[in-house]
Amino acid sequence: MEDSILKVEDLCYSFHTYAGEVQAVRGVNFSLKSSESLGIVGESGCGKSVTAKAIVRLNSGTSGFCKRGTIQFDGKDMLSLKKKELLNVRARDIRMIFQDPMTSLNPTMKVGRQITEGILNAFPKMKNAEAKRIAIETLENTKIPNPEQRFEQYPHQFSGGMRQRAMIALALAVNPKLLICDEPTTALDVTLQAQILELIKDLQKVYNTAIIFITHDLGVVANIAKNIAVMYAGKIMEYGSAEDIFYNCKHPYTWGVLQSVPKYDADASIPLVPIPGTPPDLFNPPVGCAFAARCPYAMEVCRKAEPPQYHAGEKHTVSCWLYHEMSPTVVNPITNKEVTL
Amino acid sequence: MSEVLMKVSNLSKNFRIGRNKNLKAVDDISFEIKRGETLGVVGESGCGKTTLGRTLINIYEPTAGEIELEGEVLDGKSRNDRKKFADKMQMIFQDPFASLNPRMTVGEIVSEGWAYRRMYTKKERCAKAIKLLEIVGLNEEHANRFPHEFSGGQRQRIGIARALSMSPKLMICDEPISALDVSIQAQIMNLMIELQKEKGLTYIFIAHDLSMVRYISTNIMVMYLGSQMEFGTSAEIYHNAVHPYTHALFSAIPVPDPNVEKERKRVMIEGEMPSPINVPKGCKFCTRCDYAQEICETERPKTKEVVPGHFCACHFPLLENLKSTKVL
Repeated sequence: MEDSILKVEDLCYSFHTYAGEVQAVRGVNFSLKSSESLGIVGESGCGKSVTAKAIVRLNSGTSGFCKRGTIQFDGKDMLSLKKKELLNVRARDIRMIFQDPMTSLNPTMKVGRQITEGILNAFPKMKNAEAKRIAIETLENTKIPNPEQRFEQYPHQFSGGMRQRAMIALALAVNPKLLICDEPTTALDVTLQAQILELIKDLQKVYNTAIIFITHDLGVVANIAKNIAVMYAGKIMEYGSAEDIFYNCKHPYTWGVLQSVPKYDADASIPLVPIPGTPPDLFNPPVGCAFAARCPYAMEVCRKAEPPQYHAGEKHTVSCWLYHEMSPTVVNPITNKEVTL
Repeated sequence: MSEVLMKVSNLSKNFRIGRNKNLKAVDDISFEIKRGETLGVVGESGCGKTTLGRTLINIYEPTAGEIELEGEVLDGKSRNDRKKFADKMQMIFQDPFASLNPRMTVGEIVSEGWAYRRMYTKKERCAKAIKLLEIVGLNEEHANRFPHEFSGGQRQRIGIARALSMSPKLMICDEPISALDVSIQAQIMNLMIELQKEKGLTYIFIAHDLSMVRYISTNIMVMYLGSQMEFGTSAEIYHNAVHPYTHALFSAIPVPDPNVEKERKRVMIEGEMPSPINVPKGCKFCTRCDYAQEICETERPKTKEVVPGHFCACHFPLLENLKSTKVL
């Protein structure tokens, strides 16, 4: 038996709106081994949050519905779990950290109470005192000074960075198997971001949790993720290890994204290469490759048929027609080498 | 070309909060910008960079200090004076969704400045607005649409066209790209650089994305709790930062390169910014600084020129960084 803890296959997720059906996620496949980290990067609206929330079925209260696909977590089929079992999984196995630490804590409850509540939900037989001990220990692990005192305080008495630490403590207190971080540092300053990223990395070693890290910042995933999935318009365009994505990327979209951020040591006189145009409308997703309209290498086939997935390495996959045997040779603008699989 | 366009001396802006309590959002800041240059202002949120921008353009009245534009002192007290501000300085805002009036068409938004000043006839205004839209990469048919029909990047282009309509000398860009996606950010940055070359614009570029700031700026000012910590050319600040705060701030930037990330040593700043109401008496950074000594807690450091053109306010600047070429 392979040890992948989470397996998402052909996930399609849509939302009903007045204007019609928005196909937010259009066939996503990935798997995650226990204590591994996966970064999902993409622009806003590319479906990265929807994918993550679909795993714990957090979208189900909205107009969203899962059109196709399966999500296997730890041998369970997440999409057909009964309500009670689902709540159990959410309480004990999969925890989530959200972007905005200001709104994701309950302002009327003491922080300590929120953490012990989470622990007691996961382990109903535990004694209160024991839960409190664990809560204070986790607060200490997340490097919150004076945890005993902080335990008795309300969220408004915490600063932004401290709140995000409290959120992390809240998530990790039950020692979950999977931690989903949905843009946890986007609302924070760089200095705090560096602190929080370092903290998540350290805690992953301590708690041995698998992590899905959603972000739009390539610098952040370079730091934290072992594997990276690049998403665009509801699909994974390229998947691979961090080295694959940053040094040997294959997809024109990944090239475009990497070229449109200034290199940290590059000369300012080199102009940035932006990706022209805007992402497609997901009410009527384009036939063929979603990136074709913005892709400088687009061929006729790209607008007509969806590209198949090519294996470029052990883990590295890319969905692009450029790797078809009949396509012309193109030079990768980042490595300046001809593209091959 | 290297003539001074704007000179700011000892600018301060206090906000009164409650009785006898002042929040010093901008505290004694002085700098000069030459024509055609870009000044990047960086710092953590709450350091006063947006307040600085707004005080410069007289949205807020300065508490103390002087703003000199093209040799003229502007105090913004009279209506005429304020008009001068608006003619010479324009602003681009952070949130492209909130900064455009949803009930006006794009053409009206762009030509509103002219209409307000009774410049040109309606027909001329319309033609000119279309020309401006073309300059920023939109086209004629966009002029009759409303802002909600546009994406974030396009709206930011509209905001830029509106600012250009007054043919300003100086543009204050308050985080113009932070609400946009990476691929769109590069489009807007390139547009701004192109416009600067074409029209000889001067920018004050406020942002917290440090890599973009370095990319566009000639000079960079690092702010912390309302004060200027370090000022110098872009390359100086990035490679030879001498202030411990600047050093730590830049080492916190995540680099999109896993090998660099693994190797480089981070200077972590512990803790968070103190409240701007009770700032430390000495150096404002002393509560988080690794090099802080007794004098830092009692005496505020004066701004010194460490190398020509490179200013730093610190008792113990990291002068050894000046020799090394690479700090990060």
